[in-house]
Amino acid sequence: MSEEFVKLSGEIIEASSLRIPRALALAAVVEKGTHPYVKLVECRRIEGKDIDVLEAVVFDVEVERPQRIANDIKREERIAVSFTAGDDSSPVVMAMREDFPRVSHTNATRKGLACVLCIYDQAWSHVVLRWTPVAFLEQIRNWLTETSKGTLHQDDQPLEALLMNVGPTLILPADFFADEAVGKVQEFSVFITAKDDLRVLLALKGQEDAGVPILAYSFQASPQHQHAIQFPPQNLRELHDFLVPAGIDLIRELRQRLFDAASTGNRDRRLLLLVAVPMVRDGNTTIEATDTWAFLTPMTIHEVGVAIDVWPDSHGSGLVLPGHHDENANGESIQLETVRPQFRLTRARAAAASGVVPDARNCVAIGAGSLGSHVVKLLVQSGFGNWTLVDEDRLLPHNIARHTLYDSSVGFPKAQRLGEQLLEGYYPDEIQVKSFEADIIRPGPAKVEIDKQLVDCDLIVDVAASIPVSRHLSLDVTSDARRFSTFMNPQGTDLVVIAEDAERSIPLDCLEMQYYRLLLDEDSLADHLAKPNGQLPYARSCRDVTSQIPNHAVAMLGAIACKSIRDVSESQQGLISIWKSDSQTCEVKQFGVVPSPIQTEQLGQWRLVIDGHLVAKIAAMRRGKLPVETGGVLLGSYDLVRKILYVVDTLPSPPDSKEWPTLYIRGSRGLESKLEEVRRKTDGQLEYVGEWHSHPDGCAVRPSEDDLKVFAWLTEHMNEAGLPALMAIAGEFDVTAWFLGEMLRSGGWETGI
Amino acid sequence: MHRMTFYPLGNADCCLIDLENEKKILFDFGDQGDPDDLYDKRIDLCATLRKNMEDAGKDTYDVVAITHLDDDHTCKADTFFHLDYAKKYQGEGRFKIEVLWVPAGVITETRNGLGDGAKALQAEARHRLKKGYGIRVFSRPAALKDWLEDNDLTIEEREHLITDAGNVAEELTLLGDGIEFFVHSPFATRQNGALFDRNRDSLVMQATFEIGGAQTKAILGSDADHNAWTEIVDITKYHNREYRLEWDIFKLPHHCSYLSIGPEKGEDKTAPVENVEWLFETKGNDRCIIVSPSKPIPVKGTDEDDDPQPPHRQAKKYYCEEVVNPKDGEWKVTMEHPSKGKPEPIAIEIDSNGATLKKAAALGAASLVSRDAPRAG
Repeated sequence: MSEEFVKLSGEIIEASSLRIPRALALAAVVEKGTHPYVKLVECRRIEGKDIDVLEAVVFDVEVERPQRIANDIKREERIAVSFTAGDDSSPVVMAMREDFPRVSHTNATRKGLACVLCIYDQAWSHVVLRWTPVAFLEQIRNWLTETSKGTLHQDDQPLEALLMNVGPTLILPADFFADEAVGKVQEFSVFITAKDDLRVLLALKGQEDAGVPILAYSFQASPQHQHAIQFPPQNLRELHDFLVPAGIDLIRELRQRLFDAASTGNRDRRLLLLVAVPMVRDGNTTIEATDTWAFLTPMTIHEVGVAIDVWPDSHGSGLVLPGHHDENANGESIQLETVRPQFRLTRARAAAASGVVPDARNCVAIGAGSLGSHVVKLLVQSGFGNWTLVDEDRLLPHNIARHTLYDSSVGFPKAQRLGEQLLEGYYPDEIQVKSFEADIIRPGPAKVEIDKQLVDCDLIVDVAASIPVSRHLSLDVTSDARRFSTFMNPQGTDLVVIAEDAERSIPLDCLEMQYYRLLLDEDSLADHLAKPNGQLPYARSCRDVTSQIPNHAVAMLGAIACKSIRDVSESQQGLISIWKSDSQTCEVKQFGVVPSPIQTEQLGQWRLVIDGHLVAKIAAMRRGKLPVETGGVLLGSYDLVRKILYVVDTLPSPPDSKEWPTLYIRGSRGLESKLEEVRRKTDGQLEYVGEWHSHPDGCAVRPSEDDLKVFAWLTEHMNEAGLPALMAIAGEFDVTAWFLGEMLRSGGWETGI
Repeated sequence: MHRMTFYPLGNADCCLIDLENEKKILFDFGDQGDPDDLYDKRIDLCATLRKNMEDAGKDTYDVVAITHLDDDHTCKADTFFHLDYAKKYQGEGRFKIEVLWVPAGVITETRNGLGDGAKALQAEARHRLKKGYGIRVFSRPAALKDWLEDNDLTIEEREHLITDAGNVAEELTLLGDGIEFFVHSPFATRQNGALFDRNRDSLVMQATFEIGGAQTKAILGSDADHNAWTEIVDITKYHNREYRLEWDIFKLPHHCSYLSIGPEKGEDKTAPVENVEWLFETKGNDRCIIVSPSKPIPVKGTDEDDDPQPPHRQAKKYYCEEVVNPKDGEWKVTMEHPSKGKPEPIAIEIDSNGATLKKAAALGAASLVSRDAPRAG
């Protein structure tokens, strides 16, 4: 090898004299000669008063490398690995060739220092679990091979920042480089977040007590290629030189800006320079990312001004005219500390972190209880929605156990405090949150404003876990927004999501009925609505009880609801879905049905709602029994306030029924227990609502004399309960005629499939 | 990807070419090792190639090229191949040859003392040429005139099986296989105005691999000496086909003999004749690979160094200092890779990035599972 190598310090020692175990192990393998592609060069030890002992193993390694290379990696490269006695961090792997290329996954701190290879993408504490000298050598060899091919940094990986892992982290506001901010002087105060720890600095807008006052200047450079910059600049002059090809005359700009700043009396501030460098991939012109560099000066604005000859004398009086600046005042004397700027989370980056698309649609959340707080928080955390929160409750002590709010919010309105939590928590410059302490059904003075929000929003999220609220949102609220309702079952093991389609063709109240039907159809959901075993009293009244539901279940099911809201938002379809979890293993199984299109008709005082699923089921039962007649009882639900009857299901004809070609007498064997089962599975939401029977082919779906008698019998008994009689006649061509409250010979409301 | 494999066989040649389309091509078969000798570091070629074929589930080589009939290019071929001409070379465990490539000399040569492998291959080549199938002979057709007449055949009847120097062998194409073989030798030269066929000439070819739109070129140098190279270069230049001597991979002729470079061995470094210098120093590409199919290069002053037989350290010094190092290339000796103590086949992968000399270090578990475990009691 004839290349020039970087000089290493320390004394050369025998491999056997190494004392750091990993260094010794590596040197032993390299020296032994069993590895055909590595050759020991030397070992070194560096000892000093104030530094940890360092030991280095230097060796030549033969690289497996294609003939056509993407990066100039030589057949043989000299590598030095230094280990610290503490063994608390990854050994430092250095390429010793002076002109080793500055490629991805390297750190070059300064010209003349060896290029440091980032060979592990995992924490050292993780790597040590399986660290052997041979595996380590192979990792290095693989790094060199992939780098020679240009495949170490995959094409689909994000571009690597030009300056990496240098200096402390400086956290800046998200809008620092907003269009209107570029080129402006911005005033900040910089804080350290932990005493005597300069690793992370926090920049807050404006001037604050106890912070270091700084003035920040920002620049926008022209697009640069990856690896355009080899080493971080050490002083203002070097930075200036780096920026010339990027289209910035830094010294001239600074002179102008300091000149302007001089009049504002900010000369005791420190100077922070930020440069936004749009990055393009090698061989491309598309800007893929913007790299931001930040440099802090240890000097005040005044001192900087003197050093680059803004002012003719050290008192800073007078001004040097453009074109008359001292040639030697070129910024070389102004040391720069490179800091790593990080910007606060934006909606876009919050979404990107979750691998989703940011979505700023307006949502109204009804309910800010424990499930609601988790759902809304997760959605906002992943860049979804601007929110209006409506909840009438105050936060009580027992709520804290499962809510996202803290003890400090006890006694305050849940909606207000949750809103504040979201505003403080996530991209405050972008998100919009409004809160109303109100009952959505009786909102009081806030009604006008809440109604406006409901009309203007894109999505109404019902997390109130209340049937009246769901019905109210579905039937009484004027808004084109889709309704999405989610709640947990009483035991807190299952999550239910019912969501309208984008056209609202099947409203929430009808979906609710179909959800109950799912409970009847799916055996494993038989206990879905069963009452929980334990109830905790939280106050003195007998109604003040709360269920024992583990907070992990709320968080888990809330997370599923969050995902579901996103999915629904991206789809046009409605959804009826139940996620049932096993309380022991946390295994979750999903059940769902496709919402069935509804048919509805006003019959007298009552509105009758049926759906395609039921009509088809009746038609199939009829056909299955032809030529004889059949029938059964109808299951459904009454809304006595709004006078709506939802019919959703039927029980099969009891075994003791009389089924003849011109006659059907519905039997009763086992019917009571079946109805009891329906009540139990649906927590009483579905019940007996009427009867149906079939007519043979060639016979109209008009009532016979017998049918009229049956209806009269029905009417008599239902009226006792204050309910209307319902009968359906199923006939040829899958037509079903419905009679509600009265039965006319001329016929009823006919539905088909 | 395509792959070339060179085997540690001492001063003997064998190169396996695996094409992306799974065709297999074998260049020479010099299995001179003694598998029963524990101290013989040469690989058991028959066993190695047998395992290779079994792993690939194949029983036929698409092309087997025999550059000439010397023992170090043909040894044990009679035990390995299925030969059509005689029953005793047929049966279970032998591998068939779709097309046999030979220079005309293999047909016409009448020398005594050929090894068993050479004899069998010669008989097979003659058999196939007579029958008119499964063979390609490289030479001017006229060079075979007498032999054909002796066998009651005419040139016209066998012309389609004969390829003259300056042409591409028909069996493999860039379009269909991602490879083509250009024939440099044997060739005819003009002496005193008349074409003179040099029957002693062995087969020298340039293989051009193509993959992903990128070409990689290999010269398979047989045993050509500096005179032969001089003539090859002259003829190639005469026809303005310099690109046919470009190379990324060079299989050295004659086991790193100085005679392939120049007439004088030299004290420390062989000086090349003009055309050899041109061929190696200007036609080799950056990061090229030179493979010397030979014993380890002797150290100065040792017994091996006194041996007049190749390899010659003076030749290596030329190749390394004037060719490989300036091009940041690779110098590989079959019996030294990856170490003299335990030589292994040299594998070169060829893809759109060109040739990559594989440097897998089989240490730890990788070295254990690649071979049988020792017998446990």
